[in-house]
Amino acid sequence: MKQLRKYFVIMRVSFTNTLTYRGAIFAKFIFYTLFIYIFMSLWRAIYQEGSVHGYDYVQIVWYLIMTEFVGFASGADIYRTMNEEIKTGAIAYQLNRPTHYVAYQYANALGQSIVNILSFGVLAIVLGYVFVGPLETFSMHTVVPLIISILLGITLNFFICMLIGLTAFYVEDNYAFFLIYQKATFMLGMFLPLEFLPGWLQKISQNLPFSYVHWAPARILVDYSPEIGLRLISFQLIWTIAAVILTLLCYSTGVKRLVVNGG
Amino acid sequence: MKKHLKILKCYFRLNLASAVEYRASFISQAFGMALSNSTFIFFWWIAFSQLGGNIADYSFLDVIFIWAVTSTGYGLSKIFFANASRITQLISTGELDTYLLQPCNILLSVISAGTTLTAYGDFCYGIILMAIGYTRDIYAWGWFIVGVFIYGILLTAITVFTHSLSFYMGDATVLGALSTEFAINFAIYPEKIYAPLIRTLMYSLVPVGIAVHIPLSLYREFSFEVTLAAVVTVIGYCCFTYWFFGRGLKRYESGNMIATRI
Repeated sequence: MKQLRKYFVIMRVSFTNTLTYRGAIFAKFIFYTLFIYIFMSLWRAIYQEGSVHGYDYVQIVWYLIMTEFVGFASGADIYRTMNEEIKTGAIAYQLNRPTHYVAYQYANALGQSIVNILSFGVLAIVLGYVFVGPLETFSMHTVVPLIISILLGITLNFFICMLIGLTAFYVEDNYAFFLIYQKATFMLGMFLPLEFLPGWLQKISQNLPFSYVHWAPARILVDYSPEIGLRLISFQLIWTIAAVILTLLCYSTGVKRLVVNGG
Repeated sequence: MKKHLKILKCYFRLNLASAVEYRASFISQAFGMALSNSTFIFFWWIAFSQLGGNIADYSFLDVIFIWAVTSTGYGLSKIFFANASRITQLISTGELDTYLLQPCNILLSVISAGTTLTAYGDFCYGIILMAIGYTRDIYAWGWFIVGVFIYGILLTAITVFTHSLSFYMGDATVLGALSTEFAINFAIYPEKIYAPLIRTLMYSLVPVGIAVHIPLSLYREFSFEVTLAAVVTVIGYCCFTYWFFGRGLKRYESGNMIATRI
């Protein structure tokens, strides 16, 4: 319990820090609104040409609002942080602290994410109501599984990004890995629901972790049923545990290779 | 003019040499960006295969054209003038002083002093798209080249204009980033998806419609009047940006920062 308390303090400090920079949050509000507007306009044009199976227009807009929300709520840019700290040797300062490095970064990110979840959550609901009105398929039974799914999506995203950042221990430049991950999540759930993909790709996507960052919470939001909720959350949980284990392994082997010269 | 081109060539050579010094990093970043861009075409492929027709009057080939122009044009701007997006930072930290002392055009010197590695991936990606979509259509390639040059120049001008606002109203970082987002997103989607007000913006404040959607419409059906209006607007916008930067520069108060440029 005492061990956990120090991480709680880190989280609280990060929460307060994020709240201090309200201007940065408002700037992100503009970008969030812009992206939702663009995709809403695009899907409106697509739906004018014909119907897209499985989702109506209101559902697809709420779907996009949720996928973008998970992206914006994810808070810390952990990939860049890891990359910078390993390449510049700044990680040495963190290693001296009486905390586990990975847990420290997670607590720090969680503090930022809580602020983002609360602020962008309000904005997301307002935008949804203003752009397309209420989501008919949503009920109060969806709230708890939705919150669990969002938190798991954010955590999974955090650990995959951290894992990519930690590859800086092994390779000179890992930006390409990050770009590929980013676009894999874009295409496998963020811009397009998996149901829109060709059958063979749907099967592959449902067995990859990328879809469980954005698609799972958005799918639960727009068309929840206990079976779907349980299946998606189970997969999210499995992939999150796998990502945490891989991150810890990568960190423990990578940190032994670390050489910091002066500073 | 000759002197300016010589400076530009010199900066390009130095920036490229610096990029190639870290070869693995350069290749992986450029390749990663090209691969990353291809996911958007995948999105369109799925959207068109779902519907089988046009979306907002654009066919899949039209989308390939606007994507190709935007990607290569963006690459062109960021290969040669990546430093334009650092103008706010240069102003607020006082680093701009270093450029004021050099015996060449200040704006050109500022904007061409940096490059972006991933931009090479963007640049190549558009050409690959054209090679796939319009293999032997010389007419399309012609309008593609025109579009790329105009987009590259306009994107740089838009970036300079918004960042120059820092001379007048303080930190314009968010505005600068927002204008770049507008410039990209207005260009890579069919223009008719946007409301009339946004379409007006696409041809006035952030005029990337001229660089992407007009070359496409001229490729479909040539019009001398439209071409002339587009050329006049581009020249006018660039001249205005140049004047706006110069006027802002007179308000700049030098700091006491000592910096070395090697």
